[in-house]
Amino acid sequence: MSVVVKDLVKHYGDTKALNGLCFEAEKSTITGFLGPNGAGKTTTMKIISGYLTADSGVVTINGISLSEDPIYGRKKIGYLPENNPLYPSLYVPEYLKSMGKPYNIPQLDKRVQLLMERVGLSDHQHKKIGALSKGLKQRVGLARTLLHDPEVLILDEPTTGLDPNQLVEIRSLIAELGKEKTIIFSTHIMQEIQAICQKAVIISQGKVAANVNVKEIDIQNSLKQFEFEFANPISVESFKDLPEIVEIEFVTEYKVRIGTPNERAAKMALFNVAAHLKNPLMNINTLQTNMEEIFHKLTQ
Amino acid sequence: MISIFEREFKHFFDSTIGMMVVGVFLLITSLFLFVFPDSSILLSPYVSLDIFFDLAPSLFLFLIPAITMRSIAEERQDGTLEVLLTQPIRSFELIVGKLLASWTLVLLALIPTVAFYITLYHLGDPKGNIDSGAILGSYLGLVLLALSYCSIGVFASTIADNQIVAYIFGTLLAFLFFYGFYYFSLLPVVVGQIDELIQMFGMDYHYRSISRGVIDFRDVCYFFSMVAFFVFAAILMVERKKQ
Repeated sequence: MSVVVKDLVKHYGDTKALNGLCFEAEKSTITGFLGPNGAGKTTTMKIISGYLTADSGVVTINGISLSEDPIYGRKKIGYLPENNPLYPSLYVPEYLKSMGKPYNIPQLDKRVQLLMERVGLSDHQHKKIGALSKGLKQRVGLARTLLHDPEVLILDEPTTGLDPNQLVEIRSLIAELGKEKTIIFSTHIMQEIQAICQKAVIISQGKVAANVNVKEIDIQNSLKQFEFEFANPISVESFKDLPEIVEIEFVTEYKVRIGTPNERAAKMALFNVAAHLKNPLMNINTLQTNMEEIFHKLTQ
Repeated sequence: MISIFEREFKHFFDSTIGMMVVGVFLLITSLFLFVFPDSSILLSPYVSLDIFFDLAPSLFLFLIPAITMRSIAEERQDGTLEVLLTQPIRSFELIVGKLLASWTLVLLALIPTVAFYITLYHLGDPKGNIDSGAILGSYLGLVLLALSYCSIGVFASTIADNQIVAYIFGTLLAFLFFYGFYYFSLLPVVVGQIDELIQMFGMDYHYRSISRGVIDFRDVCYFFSMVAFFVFAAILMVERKKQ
């Protein structure tokens, strides 16, 4: 089930939040939605979910326009807003059952139990939502979006504020869901896009700045970049003919920047140079990823 | 709509606001009916529940906006409105579900007051010497008045982003529609000319009419028109805030 967003325009007073935004999210694909704060990510997601109406433009799901049949869209979409609003006074299964009723789900109790198992909430069914940790609340939110088995998931920064363990768990859950559903997923974390998304839509000032295939970027620009800082001045000759180093740039008389497809071999070569010259290595910095570079170029 | 109604109604008791409203209503009406000497029916030579039916609209004026103030304003404040409006629920169902939950709570507060009637029935001399028809009419008036107040309160909650503002606005609107038109009709410029017409716009006029025990279709129609108007206005506000 594909989601097509065409020429979306949205104003908040005099401010133009979206300025003719167009993109397409394909079936069984996780589309990463990237952009600086205020670029229009959340507004776009709210319009796709049906919470906001656009001033002009169309959102279609499987060719059916949401403005013409909003209830169809709401049945097909599961939407997790940015701050994951919940009812803290309700118990987890009670909340899920209550939120599932408008969808007329057959055997709702069974579905709720199944989802709680799937997102890892079975041990917390006797707790009120207010008593859960942020990671568990995020799972409750995700379970809620999955209640009616939607074909499209709109997740607005679902990993924000999670600790590293929770981050990994939620990411892997989203990646698993992405095998069968169309997911539009916004985040600020580039590594997250590279780890779980197949496509990335970068937006800036309410427009699509780039629509890229994440895997292709990795293949085309598969070089990893590092900066090595030595204790004493270095000479160009010492770094000639090193294996696995494709790019080399001398930043200062102490610092050298290298690009390599093989991180381990390149580091070993640099350590050998340092040992051979008796010039201790003081610092090694991993430079930003390719996605980050693209993001900066397109959004500044 | 049922899920909205259930969650809203349950929330009244989870947050103790439900018990509080029912308790305060019963406590104050009981105090006036049985304890305070100026109004106590035990000290009155006549068997009548007029004190209760005079007092209830004023009490509702303060208590009903306290029930309804959170209905939409809190959902918007907490962000849960965003989730509700992206479910296959129409704005109409959302508003009517909230309205019915609030109204049911008020009806729950009214049920124990039947004990007042039973007490008076037994106190009458001879036993049962009480105008049951007028009391039944007054109850119907009170039930319709409560529904109108609830619709005003839910509408106020759709306008305000803050519950306190929703409470103040709801109380003010309910006051205007209950007492406001009556007081306007006392202005010297309208007395003797259109004073009765102005009074007819107020809920007080129709409440008193029903309380006489004669159920006039026009009075019932007035209350339902009020409810329909405020429900429609509330739906418009919810839809407008999506823009």
